[in-house]
Parts: sequence; structure tokens; C-alpha cells
Amino acid sequence: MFKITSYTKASDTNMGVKKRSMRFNISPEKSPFFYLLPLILFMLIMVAYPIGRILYISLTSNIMTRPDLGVQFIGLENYANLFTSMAFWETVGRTGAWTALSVGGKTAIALGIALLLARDIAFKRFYLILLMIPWVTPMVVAAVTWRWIFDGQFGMLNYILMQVNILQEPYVFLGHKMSAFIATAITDMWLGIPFLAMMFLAGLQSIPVELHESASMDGASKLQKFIHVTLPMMKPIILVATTMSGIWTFNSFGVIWPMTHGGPVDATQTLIVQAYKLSFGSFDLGMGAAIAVVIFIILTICTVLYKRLLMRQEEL
Amino acid sequence: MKKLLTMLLLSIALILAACSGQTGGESGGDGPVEITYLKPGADDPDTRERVQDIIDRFEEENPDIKVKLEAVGWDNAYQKLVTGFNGGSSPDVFAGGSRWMTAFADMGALLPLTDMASEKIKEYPEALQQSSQYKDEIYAIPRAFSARSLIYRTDLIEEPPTTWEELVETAKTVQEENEGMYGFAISGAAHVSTTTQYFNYLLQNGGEVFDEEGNVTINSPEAVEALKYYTDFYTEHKVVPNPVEYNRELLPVLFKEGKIAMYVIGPWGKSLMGVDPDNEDTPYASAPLPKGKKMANILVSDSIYVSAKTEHPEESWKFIEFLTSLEEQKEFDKSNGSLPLLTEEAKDPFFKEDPYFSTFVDMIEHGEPQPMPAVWEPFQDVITTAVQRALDGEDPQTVLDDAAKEIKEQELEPK
Repeated sequence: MFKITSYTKASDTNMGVKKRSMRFNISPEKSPFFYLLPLILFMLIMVAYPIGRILYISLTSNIMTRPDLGVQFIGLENYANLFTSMAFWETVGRTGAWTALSVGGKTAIALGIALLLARDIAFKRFYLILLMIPWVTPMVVAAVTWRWIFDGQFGMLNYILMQVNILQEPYVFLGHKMSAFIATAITDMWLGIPFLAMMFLAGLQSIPVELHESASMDGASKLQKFIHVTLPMMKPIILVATTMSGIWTFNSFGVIWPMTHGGPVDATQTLIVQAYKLSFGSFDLGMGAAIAVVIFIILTICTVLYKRLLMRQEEL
Repeated sequence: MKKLLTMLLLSIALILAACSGQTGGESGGDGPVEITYLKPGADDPDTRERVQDIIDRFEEENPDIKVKLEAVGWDNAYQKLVTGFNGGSSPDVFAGGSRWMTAFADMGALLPLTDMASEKIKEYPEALQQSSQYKDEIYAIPRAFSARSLIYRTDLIEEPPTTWEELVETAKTVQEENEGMYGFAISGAAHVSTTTQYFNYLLQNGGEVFDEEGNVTINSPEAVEALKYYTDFYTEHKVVPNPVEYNRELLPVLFKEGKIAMYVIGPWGKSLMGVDPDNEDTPYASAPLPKGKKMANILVSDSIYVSAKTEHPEESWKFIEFLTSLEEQKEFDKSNGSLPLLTEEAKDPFFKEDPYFSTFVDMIEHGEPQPMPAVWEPFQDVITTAVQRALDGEDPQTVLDDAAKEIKEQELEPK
């Protein structure tokens, strides 16, 4: 509105000329800056500042509950401590293995579900709704529910396994290192499958029918069609979807914490769990922040890879 | 241009206002003063109701003070409080483990109560008076206090075990005689009860966590032997359900469900089981702990604190005085199932005559104080990790050596 008024005034007075030039100053090339300014400020406060602060904290020795030890700037010492500690590298390896197990399982199962749902079957809509249930379940609710399913004394899984005589006495799934590792990964799979299945289903439906038809005419078997037609066509979408799922799984705190708190001993302690334990369990902010930064770096690399994949997909 | 600038500034101000959320709150005008009281464990509906009843009685007597109850679980209380001290808001009055006092006081989070409480504190036994003071200031008022006893099924066990050997034997016998039941149960979860349960055996075996000069002695032969005895229940004798899954709060549930025949707990076990000793399904009684080289058990206490941030120190103190008055404290101890705290209160016949309670009262005599590391929570993590590793089959000596090393590295020795 004010633009129009200044324009009309500008027609005869000297003042108007000045105003006109000012109006020109802020538009059109530079005006986007002003429109973006609120959001830039918002992002600076809500995103850039916390990241900068974490970077700074990771360079200090700062234990909140130990004012007697003081807060000191110690440079890269926290990182040096981390990288020379065996336990840290074990955690990195464990996080990688857990992510691989969970994402691998998710991808295989989701692909199977997508293949089934891509066919013309009865009650398809019903199955789709069923598939959505894990997606709409809050993560912590799901984790707590699964914790009780795996419980050693009152758990549903033990009950079923004992009814069919696979187990003679209850097995405490979350009380043993290996089984707890797998049980948490299964829970994470359950939560992540709907997203991947939907992506794969969309991918399957985008494959032109002609390709399958011509393959059939050439005498390809079902398996050959899957390997030589479906998979190559799906490759971009599989790569993109699993990379995204991998990033989420890597940071999956809401599953592990309610189920095991990273235990028994540290069998399910991933990087994010360790960062949380250090920052909010022992309140060792420096070390906690250092791990957070390491996670940030690892995930940034993953995101760059993901972006490259996306680019290549667009070239296709 | 000016208009544009104003608009810009306005929009920024609006965004900032939206971010900063509600500030201010009630003005300190004429209306009643509101103080908040954080009570860990009040997430349990029964406890919450009991605490709310006390608050209602207080508000009736003091119409000018309103008390808002903040209920959190024991699991989250420590974290919530520490985060609150550093920038967030903290409750005016809060209860918590006495083990937290030193760290909180060092953080400058506690209001010294010396001026107000120097008379009140004399109502408590000497040991508790001392554990409420730090660097010549009173920081805490004792709230609850407990010793440990053995709970056993009277219909299955005629004579409760009195020594370590008998405990294993009894557990084995009951387990053989009763299909689907474990003879005993221990705690191995990442929880304070894992440390206190293990420390009971440690003390009974003549070991200690820190010696008098504050050096770590958690890897002494006595301690290693005690840890071996503790974890052998699971790894060797197989008379307990997998401990890693269970903490103190879950054992009473297992007992009530008839899954275990014995366990060790403080006097509040009764209220956690929710049934009387002579109930039909799982009749039980309390017995002194089976003794090792000597009889010992750890005394754990909770305290009430006032936050250094409070704007109403006087009202907060008034509330504490009410909570800990002879009448209210007695009521609380009886219903909560904690031991008589005030010297005057212990004279009440209830605590001496009740067969369930009297065992615990007798155990006080053999009580030894909790170790006082510089900060409790990381210390507890170190100990539970060691116990869990031993339960997983690792050598007790190795895991305790590692624990001692870890305690030194984190400088957790008492100051």
C-alpha cells in the first residue's frame, strides 16, 4: 500500500524524488532479503546458535554437577579422549551394525510387502490401513509395548513360544546382550517398515507394464523379471529410501532408551544413547557435545551421499 | 522506509515473543502465595494421593499458601532437578535422595537452612543430623529412612535362612519343590537398588567402597568375594530370575505374583506389594538379612530440600515444618512404610510391636551409612555396569578393577 502512495506523491514534489529513489533501493533485487529476514533470524536463533554452542561446548571441560572442577576451554582434548578410547570405537561399530541390521531387515521386509501389495488382491485397502498402524504409533508407545512383549516373566512372546513348546522356560530377551541387540532392532524395523513399503510400492507402480510384457515375450521367468527388470528400475528409489531410513535409524533414540537404556552392560548403546547418557546422566556436557558433533559429522557425510544419489537419479 | 522498518521490527518482535513463550506468571500481589513441591515417586497413583492429602491438610491450616505438587518418577527426578538448576525453573521445595545433597550443594542449588532449621534438626538422631549438613551448613531435612530385611513366603519356608550358605540352600530347596518359581531374586537393572543390594553383601563381607581417607577399595578381595556371591545366585546356582531386568520396584510385584519365594527390600516393600503379611495367596514375613562374616545392611535416607532459586523461602520452610511435624511424619512413615525418623516418633509402640516393621527397626542397629561419592549418579552407573558385567559371566576381579579405575578417572572419591 505504501508503495502506491509514495508513487503518486513522487509525481510532482522534490521530496517525492527522494522517496522514489529510496523505494527503488529496496526493490526488486534486494527486497527478497527483507522478506527472508524474519526467517533468517529465526533460523539463526533456533538452528545456527544451538549448533555453534554445541561446537563450543564440545571444546570445553564442563561437568554440570561438578562446579568444583570448573569449566575450562580445553581445545580438542575431548575429541582426543574419544578417539583414543576403545569403548568409543566399539560404540561406533555397534551403532553401524545395529543400523545395518535394522535397515537391512526393514528393506527386505518392506520390499516383500510392496511386491505383495502391488498385485491385484482382495482387501488391498484393508492391508494398506494395517500397514499404516506402526507409522501412526508414537515411537515411545511402540517401544514400551514391545518391551512388555519381550518381557521375561509376563511377556507375550515368551507365552507363545512356551505354548508351542519351542521354549521350556521363559527367556529374558532384553536381559542378554545378543538378544537385546536383536530385539531392539526388530522393534525399530516394525516402526520403519511402513515408510519403506509405501516408497517401494510407489516405485513398483511407476515401472511401465510394457517392460514386463516384453520380458515375458522374451521368455523370462518370474525371478528373472524381478532381477533384471524390477530391481534395476527400483534401484534409485531403493537407494534413496534406505539412505533416509538409515539416517533416522542411526539416530533412533526413542526405541532403545525406553526398552533397555542402552543395556544390558552396553549391548544396545548406540552413539546417540551414549551422547544422551553423558549429557543428561552424568551431565558431562563437554563429552556429550563431542559425541553429538561426531554424529553430526557422520550424518552430514550420509546426507551428502544421499544428495548425490538423488542427483544421479534425476539424470536418469 | 520508516514504515517498512517498523513493520520489520514488529514482525521480528512478534516472532521473538512467540519463541520466548510465557513469562511472568502470577504477580506477588495479595492472593495466596504459590509454592511448588516436587516429589519423586509420586507418579505412582497411591503415593500421589497420599502426598496430595498432606498438601490439602497444609492448605487448610495455611489458607495463604498454595502448594502445587509436581509428580515425577524416581528415574527422572535427578535429571529434571539438575536441568532445572541450570537455567530452567526449579521447584521451591523438593524431596530426593540424601545422596544428592553434596552435588546439589556444590552446584549452589540448595538454600542453606541453617538459620531456620538449627532447632528443628535436633529432633533427629545424631547420624541423620550429620548427613543433613555439609560444610557447616544445614542443607537438608531428613524425610524418610530405611533399613533392609529379607521378605520370605511363610507357607513355603519354615525357618528363614540366617547365613549366606543357608540362603543359597533355602533358595535351591524352595525352587525344587515349587514348579515355576524362583527361590530368590536380586536386582541388576541400572537402578539405585542394584548398588544398595550389592553393598549389603559387601558390608557383610567386611568390605567397603571407600576407606577412611576416601581411597577406592571397591576392588578389595572382600568386595570381589561379595560380588561373586551376589552374581552366583544367577550364574552358578540359577535361583533368581534374570536380574538385569529387575530393580527394586519390580521385585515386590514378582513376589506378589508368586514368581519368587524371597527377596530383600526396605520397609516400603509392604506398600509396594499392596497386601498384608497374612494374605491368603502369598503370605509373607520379614526376617533379618542372612549374615555373612558379620551382620550389616545399608541405611538409605531421603531428604527435603529448598531450592536456592525460591522466591518464598519462608513459606517453603513453613511447608517443610508441617511435613515433618511429629504428627504428619508419623502418619507418613506408617503409610509409606518407612522407619520412624524423629527421636520422639520412634517411641510409638506401632513401630516396635508390628511384627513386620519391628524387624526393620532392629536392623537399624546393624546399619551402616551409604558411601558418599562426590557425585552419586555417575558413581551408581559405574557400579551397576560392574555388576551387570559380572552377571554376564565376566570375572568379578576384572570388573571391579575397572570400576575402581573408572571412579578414580572421574574423580568421584568423597571430598
